[in-house]
Amino acid sequence: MFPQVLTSIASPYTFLGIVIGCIIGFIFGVVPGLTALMAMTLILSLAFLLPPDICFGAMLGIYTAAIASGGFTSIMVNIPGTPAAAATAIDGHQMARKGMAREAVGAVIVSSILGELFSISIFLLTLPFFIYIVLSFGDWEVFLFCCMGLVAAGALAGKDPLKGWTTALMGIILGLIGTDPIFGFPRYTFGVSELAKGIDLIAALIGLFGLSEMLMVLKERKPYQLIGKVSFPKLDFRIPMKYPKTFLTSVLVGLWIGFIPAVGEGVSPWIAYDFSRRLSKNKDKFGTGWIEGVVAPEVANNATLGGALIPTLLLGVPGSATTAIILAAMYLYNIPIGPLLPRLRPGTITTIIVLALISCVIGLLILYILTPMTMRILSLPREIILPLLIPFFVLAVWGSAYTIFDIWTMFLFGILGFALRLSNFPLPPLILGFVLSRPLEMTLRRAIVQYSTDLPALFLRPVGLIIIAILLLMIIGVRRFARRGQ
Amino acid sequence: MITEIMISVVILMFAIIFLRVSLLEFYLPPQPGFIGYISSPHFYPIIISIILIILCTTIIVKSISRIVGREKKEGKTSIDIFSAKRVAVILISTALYIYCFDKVSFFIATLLYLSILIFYLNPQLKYKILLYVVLGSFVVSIIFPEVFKITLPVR
Repeated sequence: MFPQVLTSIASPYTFLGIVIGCIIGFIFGVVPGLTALMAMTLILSLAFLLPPDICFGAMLGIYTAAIASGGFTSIMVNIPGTPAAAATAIDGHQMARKGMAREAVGAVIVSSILGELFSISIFLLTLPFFIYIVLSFGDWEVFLFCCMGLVAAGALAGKDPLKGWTTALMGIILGLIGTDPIFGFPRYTFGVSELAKGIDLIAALIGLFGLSEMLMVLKERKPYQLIGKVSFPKLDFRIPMKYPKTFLTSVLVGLWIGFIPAVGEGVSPWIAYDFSRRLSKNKDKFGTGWIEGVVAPEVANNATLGGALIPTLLLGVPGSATTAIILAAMYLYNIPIGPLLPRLRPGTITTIIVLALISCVIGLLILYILTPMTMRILSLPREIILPLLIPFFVLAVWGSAYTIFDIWTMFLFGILGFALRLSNFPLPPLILGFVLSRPLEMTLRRAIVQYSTDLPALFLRPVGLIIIAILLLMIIGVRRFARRGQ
Repeated sequence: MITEIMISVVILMFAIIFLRVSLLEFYLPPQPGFIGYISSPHFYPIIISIILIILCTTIIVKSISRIVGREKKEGKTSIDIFSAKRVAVILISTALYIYCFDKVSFFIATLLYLSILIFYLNPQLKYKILLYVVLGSFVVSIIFPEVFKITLPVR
């Protein structure tokens, strides 16, 4: 097994694949609307031309760089580069406005890379434990776990959790538009055929955060400008030692969320942010430009990879949309998928894990080298950089599904986001609700169908009971936190 | 405070419409020995709509009671004429740009859109604007679709 792994990773072409993957991932991460998923799909289309190791190396390089660099745009222009970087904007952008952009970007790079390294290493060490845990989790427990994300949305609203929960529920309803995932029944389409496929996440995200940010900033007589030196980011590798609780909590949240099928890196940063805020001694500083508020989501979004690889490689069930692309590549290369993989192709899992670890190291270098140029572009006067982003938004939304309808959806979501922000309704819970909408419904309905003959038994499942208890404590905590804030 | 109430009312109406649609399209009546509506596509939306209605009503009641109690206004909730004008110009120009997306050459539309908008937002930067607009339009409409293979409706 080891000679095979060594032969795979020692090839210069594999390294080149990772480097190219990191550069592509960096560009896709920085430009709002382009995601790691799109870049990985691009590589998947070339899978027929590439040997498996180069293809997997490039894909993992894309993942590492795109998820990390998405935080740059969140920090510099308050518009998430990828859905996974939306939570980073809360504290990251405040840091940039205080002239601490280099520190914030440095924290993004270090947290992302170390988060992924830790998560992959933990994945290696705790594989048997995770297999045991996954067997005790049914649909009901996954549903309750997703509910924890919704309760956390209340905390994201700060003083008024009701507003956070309201926008989160609104996000859920918007996420329900389209074809019912179980019966294929069209819902809330109001006769509009384009709505049958549902509202596009990219269009909603760009509208809510991109267009609304542009309106919010440019309505001012003198829009804010970023201050501080534009140079190489300040990398502080002592972050795990300085904020051990935040770091470890976020790694575990990332692993856990990645582990739950189909949830992925769009959700983990929010939950990690909320958990870290609760556990931090400086919880009052969160939201004001505090570095832990950048560390938590960035560690979690990259750490999701470790968790997502577990069901993908061991069960053949993708942990996230990005690992679904890796799974698709495995199909293309005729690699056996599921529990038999370790027996039939013993080197494959190890090769993928080693490639992920190498992509972290190469990703760190690429991110460090490309950061000053990116920061310089993103530091242009707001009156120039924000309008310049609009054609990018239009093109990105167009590129995701090739329909004008989605571009208009983005426009309407921009107006919605602007109106909500004017009324002090928080936007992050809306996108969280939108992302969680389908997993929540699917798991709840499946659980109901499974327990249709004895519904009360659902509430007696031991793991479920523990999660319900945590949920109740969270609700009480959010209410207390809000009262103290007032 | 007023905008807060207005937005809450809009969300409330939105939730009521969803609830109404869900109830009208209620096509699986409960039958003995069959779980029916609990697993139907409308059960979950009904629950969410009802909770949303309760939350919105609570926010509206709280906001009204705050107005009655003459509490201090929190945060920026108003928008002056200058800002309203700017927002209107940005929205109208963006809407026109989107409208032209599949009708006019993307490069020309982008060039015009960026020129008008950036010049309107910052008229002092005359020569710099020209550079940014031409460079930005070129990157967005020529290089970007070529590199990432995004086919444009009109080149």
